[in-house]
Amino acid sequence: MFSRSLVAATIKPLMLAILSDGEAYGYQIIQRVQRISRGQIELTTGTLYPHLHRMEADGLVESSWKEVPDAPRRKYYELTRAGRHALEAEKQQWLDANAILSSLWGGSASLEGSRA
Amino acid sequence: MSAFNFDVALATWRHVMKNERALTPEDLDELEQHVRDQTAWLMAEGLTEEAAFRRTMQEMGDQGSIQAAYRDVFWKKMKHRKTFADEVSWRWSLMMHHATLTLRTLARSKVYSGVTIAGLAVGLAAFMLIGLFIRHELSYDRHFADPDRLYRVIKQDPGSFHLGNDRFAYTPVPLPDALEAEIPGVEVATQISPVSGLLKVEAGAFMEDGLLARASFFDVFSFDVLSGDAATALAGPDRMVLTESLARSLFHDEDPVGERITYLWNERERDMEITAVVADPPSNTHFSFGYLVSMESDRWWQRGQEQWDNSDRYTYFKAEETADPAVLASSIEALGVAKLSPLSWYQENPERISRYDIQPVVSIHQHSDVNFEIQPTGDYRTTLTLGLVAIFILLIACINYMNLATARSATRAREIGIRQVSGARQGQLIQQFLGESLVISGFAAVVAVILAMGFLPAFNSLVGRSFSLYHVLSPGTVWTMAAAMFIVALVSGSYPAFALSRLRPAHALGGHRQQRTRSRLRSMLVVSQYAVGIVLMTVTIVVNRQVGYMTTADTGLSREQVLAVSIQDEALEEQIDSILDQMRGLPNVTNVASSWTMPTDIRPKSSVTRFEGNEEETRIQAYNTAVGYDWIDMLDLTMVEGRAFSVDKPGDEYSGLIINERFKEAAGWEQAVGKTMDFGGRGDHVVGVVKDFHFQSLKREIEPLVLYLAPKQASFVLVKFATDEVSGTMAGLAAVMKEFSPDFPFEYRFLDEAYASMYRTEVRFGRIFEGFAVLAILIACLGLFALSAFMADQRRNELGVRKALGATQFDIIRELSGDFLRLILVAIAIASPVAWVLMDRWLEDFAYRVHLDWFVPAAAAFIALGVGLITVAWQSVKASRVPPAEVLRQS
Repeated sequence: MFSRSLVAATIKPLMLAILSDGEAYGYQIIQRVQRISRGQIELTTGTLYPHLHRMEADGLVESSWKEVPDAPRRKYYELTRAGRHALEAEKQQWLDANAILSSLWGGSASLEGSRA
Repeated sequence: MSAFNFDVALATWRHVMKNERALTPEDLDELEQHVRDQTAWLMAEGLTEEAAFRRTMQEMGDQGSIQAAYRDVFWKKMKHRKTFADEVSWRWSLMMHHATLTLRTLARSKVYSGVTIAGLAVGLAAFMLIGLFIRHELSYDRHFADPDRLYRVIKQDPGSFHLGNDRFAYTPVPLPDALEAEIPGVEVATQISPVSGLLKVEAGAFMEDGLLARASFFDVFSFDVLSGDAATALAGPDRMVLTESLARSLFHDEDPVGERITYLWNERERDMEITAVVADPPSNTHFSFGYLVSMESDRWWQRGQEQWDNSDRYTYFKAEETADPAVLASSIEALGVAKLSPLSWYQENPERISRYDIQPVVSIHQHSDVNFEIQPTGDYRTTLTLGLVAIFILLIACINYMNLATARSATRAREIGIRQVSGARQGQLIQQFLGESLVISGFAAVVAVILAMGFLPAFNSLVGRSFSLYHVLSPGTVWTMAAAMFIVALVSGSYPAFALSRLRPAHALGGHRQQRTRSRLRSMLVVSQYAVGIVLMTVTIVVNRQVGYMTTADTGLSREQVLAVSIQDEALEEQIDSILDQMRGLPNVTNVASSWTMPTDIRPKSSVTRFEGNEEETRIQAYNTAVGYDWIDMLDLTMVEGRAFSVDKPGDEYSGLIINERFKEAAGWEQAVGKTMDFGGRGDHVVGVVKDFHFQSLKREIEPLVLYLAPKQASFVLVKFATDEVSGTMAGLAAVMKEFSPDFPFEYRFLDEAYASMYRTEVRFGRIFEGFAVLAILIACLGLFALSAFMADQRRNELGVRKALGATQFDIIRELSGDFLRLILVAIAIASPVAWVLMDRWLEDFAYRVHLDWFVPAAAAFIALGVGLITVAWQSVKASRVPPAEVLRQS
């Protein structure tokens, strides 16, 4: 299981990435995150929906209601143009972070070796 | 057991979530769909519908954290969706909701609401009126430009006491020029002196008061100049500046600048040129005038140019912005020493050289303590006392509110419980209660303004001011009032708010009450209310007893049916005898005598060093006055030795003196008649000794007195009459005065009234305390009344049982009254010593005073006890009368 702070940090890129595949509603997003992360990241309703709403307020996603037979309507979210730019920026940051951390951890032996 | 119904469960959940305002209906739709999806998925995994629903609920987390998360993003969403109006309307509807609730609560218990609002309203009204007075008192002379740079020069004359004080407001004529020329830091100096004279215009003659003022007057004191040029208005002799109101009454709507006016003053008629018209000095100015006369018109000023040892003027200056007051004061003191020490008298008596000092003009009204103020000043102690009284009264009203609100917590506990169970947080409850107290104090404020306006005339006569509705509704007052209202709401609402919102729902709903601590607090509040009331009442009783003693005391001279007619025209000196003769001839007039001063307030004082038998260079400071022939007789004074002045002894007028017993004692004479002394250089000798009588206020000890015969030196003619029907006599006297000085108005005072007016301050002080003590007790009783009604109501069941078990009506009354009476006794125990110490200090100011008897605080206590008893007993008797069966059936 990821720590709370790591979940909080990844939630935005996760949702941007999932929505880049096409529109989805909240429950779907939770399900997909759980599946992709093999249960390591569990989003709660209290985290997901407010986050989606915040991203909508920031103009990264757009929402629309769709009628569903025999049930209340569903709210679908999709990425906006700004959302796609944001996804690119996030992706770049995470890759950079990954590269930095990898170089540190991947080269740890050599660091120790040079000290020896 | 009822079967699980998914739709009902979902609806219930939705209903609960709906209370959170951060969740919009759309959010709820989205969440509901989520719940449906999750439940369906879990059911597909094999769970029952009920288990799946419960699991979904669990996974969603508790209601609080969801709401918190939504609230975090709420404002962002509001901005994005531009439904700010929604938010405002939501807040508005919430406020209306609270307001409706408050109004309902108020309406449900009319007695308590009435008592609370009435108490607060009376408290706020008193606060408002007193606030008005205090603001006025503190605003004196602040309306001038650069008020903090204005100073007055005063002096201390060591060894020269007047009414026990050796500080004087008078300074010599040459001082302003010296200040400007020799003291760095003095920007401009000026001088004034009060004058009184007759202004003659076509419409008639008017006796008016004004000021002699140097040309620089307007450089120091800023006035709105309505016509003419302030810079030159007072430069040169025979120039006059009128105030707007005087200009209007003399010249109506014409501009008088350039006109000439005849001014009769100092026995001379002068032709004055009107050079300017200025706005009337505001009432909060430490001097007042109808007109200004250029200082150069005064012959005494012309003669006094070099006289440093003759002080009869008020000197002011404006300091430079950077000047240090301490440096100014010391250099002005040094200036005085430099000017006075070369004079021959001061060379002989260097220890008596005057010490000049300065005082800020803005502090004169509240803090001045010098002799010969230009007009009576206020006193910061009165202001302070009144301020404290205002705060106390407001506090008593607040305590009422707190008492009633907490007492009623019992009935409201259920309401609070329900609110808590349905999700109200403590903060929201506090908000609700504070909102309630704000609404109540708002109501009270409105009522208070109406009360204040209604009681304004009474208040004006109480404090001797003339405030108008304009003052009541001025922005300053309104702001003070609003601030007071908020503070009252906060003070009186905070305890109920925090205490009640802390109730535990289970307790609140179960009807359990944290009775003990709350009733202890309530007891303390009742005690403090009553203690304040008792202190105020004791003060009232003592002040009124002292005033009563002073105004009715036998001062040794008869003040009854004596009239003092003013002689204003100094030219009448030679005709005094004829005036006296004519007055003596009027019906009902039994005696007449001229007098230089009012016999009840003799102020002139000289020192006597050369008297027979004085080898030790004793100096007797003796008050003195010129009197006419029948003076002693008409005032029923007793001669203990020798005789009164007599027409048959022509020598009396040149050398006869009458002294009082104190003088004789001070001179160390066994027998006084025939003794010689130098009093004005006429080889005087004592012809009689008059029994000591009070010739000043009873605040002062009797001191040595010398009476000399000078019938022509008359400022007054004392007239004694033998009837209660005075109007005929008065008309006769007026006719005589009209004949001799047709230009001057007929002015007179009754001796007993003049005497009583010396205690004006004390009388006023007493009346103010009386008024506010009654108010304080009244508010406290209102509270006690409602509180006891409430307690009796609370204990109905218990009392019913008691009665059913055989308690008598008396037992019930004792049961109910006992608690309150104990509290009042505690209040008495606390308040009496405080009141005693306060009044003991106050009485020290009076040389002749009433004894502070033990029964005075006791009487106050007794009144408090009596009033409290009646208040409580009313409710107790009512409660004891209810048949037990009825009570028990109802419950």
